[in-house]
Amino acid sequence: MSDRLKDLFATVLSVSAESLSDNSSPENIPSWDSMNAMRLVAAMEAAFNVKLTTIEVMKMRSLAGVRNVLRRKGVDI
Amino acid sequence: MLFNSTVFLLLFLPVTYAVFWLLPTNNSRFGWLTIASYMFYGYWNPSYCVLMAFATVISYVAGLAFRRTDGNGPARRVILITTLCIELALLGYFKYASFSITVVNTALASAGIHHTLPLVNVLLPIGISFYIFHTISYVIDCYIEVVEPTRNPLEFACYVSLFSQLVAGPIVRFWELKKDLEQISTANRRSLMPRAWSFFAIGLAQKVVLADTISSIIDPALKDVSQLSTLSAWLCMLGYTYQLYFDFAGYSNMAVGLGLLFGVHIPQNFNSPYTALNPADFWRRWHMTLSRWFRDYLFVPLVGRGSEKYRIYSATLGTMTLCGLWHGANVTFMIWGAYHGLLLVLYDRSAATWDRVPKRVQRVGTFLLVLLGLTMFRAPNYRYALVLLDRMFRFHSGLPPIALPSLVFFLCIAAGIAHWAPNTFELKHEWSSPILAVITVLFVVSLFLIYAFRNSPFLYFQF
Repeated sequence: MSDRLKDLFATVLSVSAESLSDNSSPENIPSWDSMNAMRLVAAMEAAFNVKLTTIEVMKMRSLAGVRNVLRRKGVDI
Repeated sequence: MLFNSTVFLLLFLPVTYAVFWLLPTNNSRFGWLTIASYMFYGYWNPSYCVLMAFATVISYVAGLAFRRTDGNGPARRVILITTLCIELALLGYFKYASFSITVVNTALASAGIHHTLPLVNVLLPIGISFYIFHTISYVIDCYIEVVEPTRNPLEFACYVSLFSQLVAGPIVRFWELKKDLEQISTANRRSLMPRAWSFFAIGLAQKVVLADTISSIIDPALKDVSQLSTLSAWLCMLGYTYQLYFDFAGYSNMAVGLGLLFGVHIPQNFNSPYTALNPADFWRRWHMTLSRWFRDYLFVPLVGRGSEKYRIYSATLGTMTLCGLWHGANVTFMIWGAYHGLLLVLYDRSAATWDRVPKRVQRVGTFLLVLLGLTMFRAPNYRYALVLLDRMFRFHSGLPPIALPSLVFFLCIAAGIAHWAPNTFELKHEWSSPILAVITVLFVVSLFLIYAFRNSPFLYFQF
């Protein structure tokens, strides 16, 4: 996973980038709650210059899921 | 059939367990668990089984249909919308028809129109809110392609009907059980056994020893709330706050234990919620599987593509109000849900200030906010809740609850466990002699209480 994505998640979720992995998800990162999930969407849209659909956001249930969605939109991460 | 009943503990569970482990293949185990689960469910009312079977078939067929379509074409959307409409219509009719007609009639009467709609008398099938949420999550997950639709009808029927989680959750998504279901014929009975019985015995004791005992003391006092003294009102609500937690957490622990007995890992539903530091933290710890369901299938679609604060806050309020309504067709539950939505928004607005307060104060403050909300949750109508709040916040003399010393004693034990003890997922569940002795004592005491006094239903069965 690129450092850029990890850093973005670390900033929004107030956790260290080292603590994040592909398996990180709302189930094991307490600060990844509903409101922060939406803040992550806004941050990713701004950082990677993409527009995410509702279904794409619904697919983002782990860092691996986020990476898959962004890659499908052509983001190089 | 209740988990805390003799027919379940002495007949259903031993027979289901013994036959299950004799069966050699995945499909034979799926088939047996499905049959057993339908017997478990049909014990209340056999006609309920037809409804569950219908919801299962509809969702399974939708999954198969998704397999045959690809891309984002209109066919997939039609399958999704049709299936969701059917599932929600089932839930809506059986759970909300009477409530909706009453609301419409009240609105008509207040507008001076004296024509009223005829009331319908529908019996609410136990657990419908839970298994419909299971099937809805499966259909949506198949649609957005985070889960591969199963071809195996027995596997899917087993997932929907699994008796351990059928009538009061936890709400488990298909992808959470898929790996266990695929490996069900190779599950290791011996390695799962200690953890399974430990979870089950602790859950049974939480329900029978703590929740039911507290309930037996406070329920008579809460019948006539207008006679409560201020102290009694607070003690009763404190009692109800612990009763609800140990009733539902106890049920969830029993469900986890039962799942493990059959090789299935059911997720955690409560993570010491009364130690929460703020409302957001509380909802990460309380009925966790329901919170995740509402987050993934309602909150995210409600927010949609925008991420502006007003959209997030209105989606939070809407989601929590519907979460309240999910608990029951009553205005009190809607108010309770909206209250928690408001707490979440207010916390988000003031997190910087709130988080600077000492942690102990944050915990006590959050607990009191939860307790106040539960006055509405406990009340049969909002007038009752207002009287209860009046008894709590304006000084009233009156009689204390009968068996006050017992109530205080059990409140102290409940508080000690809820606020300071590790929860069941934090325990190791390794069977050394002393631990085995404690578990055995808990189990025997619970059985004695069930035989001698009661086997009352779980509070969340009504939802």
